[in-house]
Amino acid sequence: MNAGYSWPGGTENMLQMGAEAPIQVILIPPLFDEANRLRKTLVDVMRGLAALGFGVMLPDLPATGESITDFQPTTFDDWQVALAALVAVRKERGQTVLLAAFRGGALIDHAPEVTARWRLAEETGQRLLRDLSRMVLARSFRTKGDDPLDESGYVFPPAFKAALENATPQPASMLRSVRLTHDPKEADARIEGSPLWRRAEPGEDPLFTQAVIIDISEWAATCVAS
Amino acid sequence: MLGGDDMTTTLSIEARLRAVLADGLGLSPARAAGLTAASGLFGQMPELDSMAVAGLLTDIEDHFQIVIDDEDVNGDMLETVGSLTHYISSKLAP
Repeated sequence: MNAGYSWPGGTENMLQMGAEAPIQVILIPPLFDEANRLRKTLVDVMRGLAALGFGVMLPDLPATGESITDFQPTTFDDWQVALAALVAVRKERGQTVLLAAFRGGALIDHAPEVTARWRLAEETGQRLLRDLSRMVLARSFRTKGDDPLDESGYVFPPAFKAALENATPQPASMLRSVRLTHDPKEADARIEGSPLWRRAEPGEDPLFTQAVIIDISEWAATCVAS
Repeated sequence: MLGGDDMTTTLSIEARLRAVLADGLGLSPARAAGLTAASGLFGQMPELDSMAVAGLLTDIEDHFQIVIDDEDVNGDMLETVGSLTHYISSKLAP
């Protein structure tokens, strides 16, 4: 299940199931702390999709997760470059590739040419950064002092932060955008559930996870058939 | 002392805030229903860590169509359901 992938800046870890399957779904995780909180759910989604016959990958973006890539020289473009490299290898093998992006993952899913895209609760970089700065603010109520760490423990390279600040989910072909039932923003479909990516104790929500698996698999089937 | 209409408005804002809290934090219906103006929030509700605070503020902005200034965010504002309701009411006031 542990695997790796190469991109021009190095090699990163990823979880992988069904490497030989003809249809490959790449799960693009949320960014920063949200990725940790949604990790269990994403792994469950992987298992569910693999059981349906899909190949599934959950890559670490450069400088995130278990990556040994240094964050300071990393640029926001590097994440897109890394993702593009992962897609390219699959396509060279003749496999069909779909992207399923969660939250801020949708900020980097538009560039590669893939058969379909699926997004859950896509979010702008500006709002993600505001969440992070408010985390630091809330933490300061308790520590009552200067917090040496920047947002969410990340010390952002200035250029990275500027690029993220301006990043918005881009229009793309064969795109299905899904949101939670209580989310008032526009979406193609809604899934019952609550924002696990914000939970102090994320736990799991099997009904939500199952709904995600079904929605991705049905969208994949629709797009592959068309 | 609040008059009739003001009291009704405050109660409805508090009820809407309870729903936002329940949705965002995944509180059980029983826990959500048990929240009162005196219920403690940040520092007292285990679900409400610093990241959940950030999410909650965003949810409140989206739900009530208000903009929360970071300068307004402090321990007093987030102390109880009542203090947060009071803040939202002040932002909604014409």
